[in-house]
Amino acid sequence: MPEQVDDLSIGHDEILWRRVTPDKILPTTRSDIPPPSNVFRSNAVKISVNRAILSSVEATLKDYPDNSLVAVTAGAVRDAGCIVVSDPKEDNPAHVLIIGKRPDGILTKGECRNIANSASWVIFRSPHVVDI
Amino acid sequence: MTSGSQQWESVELPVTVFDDRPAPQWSDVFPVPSLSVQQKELIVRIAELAKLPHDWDSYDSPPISTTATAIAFSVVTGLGPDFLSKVSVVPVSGGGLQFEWEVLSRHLELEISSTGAVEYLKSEGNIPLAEGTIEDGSFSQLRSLIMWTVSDQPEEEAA
Repeated sequence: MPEQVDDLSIGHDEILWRRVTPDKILPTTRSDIPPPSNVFRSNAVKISVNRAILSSVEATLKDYPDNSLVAVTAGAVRDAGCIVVSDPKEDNPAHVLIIGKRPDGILTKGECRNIANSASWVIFRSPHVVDI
Repeated sequence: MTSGSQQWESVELPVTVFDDRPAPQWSDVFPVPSLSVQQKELIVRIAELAKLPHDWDSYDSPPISTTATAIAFSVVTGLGPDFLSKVSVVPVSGGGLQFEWEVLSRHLELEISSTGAVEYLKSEGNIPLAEGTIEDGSFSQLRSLIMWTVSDQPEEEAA
């Protein structure tokens, strides 16, 4: 597999979006503190995000109306020791992969924690909050 | 508490109730009355997460693997209630499960991958301190990590 390199055409200040399924939100999860690290964790595949500059909140959450959305900058991903690689799809030109330092590119738990520390909620939909 | 040399494999696993297999046999039934309230709640939570369908995370994740589920059950039953009072369980993309202990500023993540590998991350004030693997299903190593988490003390206020 060819070595993947950091895509420097994605600026440090560029915002990357990742959806958060309700199953990852605990009753203790709050919108005013960074999201949990498992938002950026997969133990099998690389982490997919959308470039905000090439997408929209509506497009990113299309088909997932109960999902939340978090944002992190490409610079914060790099500061965590990871790289960002543009991976446009036919139906999603904004698609980007976050790749960690491990040979398989999967993020370590520490990398996930550090990226999550720099992330913030754009849309927070808790399944545990009941509207009155 | 149970002895520190206990391992995942030595714990009787409740391998039913979370899939479409035929009705459980007697040998599969877990002795629920012997579990604490916390253990029962965690077993139910894990069983619910084990039902998550393909693409549950909206990023094409497979369902939680039966291997991860079985190990998670064994963690709950093997640790005992004394170590489970501050823990949550969340799904991990790729088919895994994660236990999370949080006491004041200390945080411990114990992740069981879809293949059964078990990793941990210790953090304090959200700053990662150490990560690694739990070797050979060692409950003693896991208990040591949990003890570090729950031993956190509030900092003294500045005069």
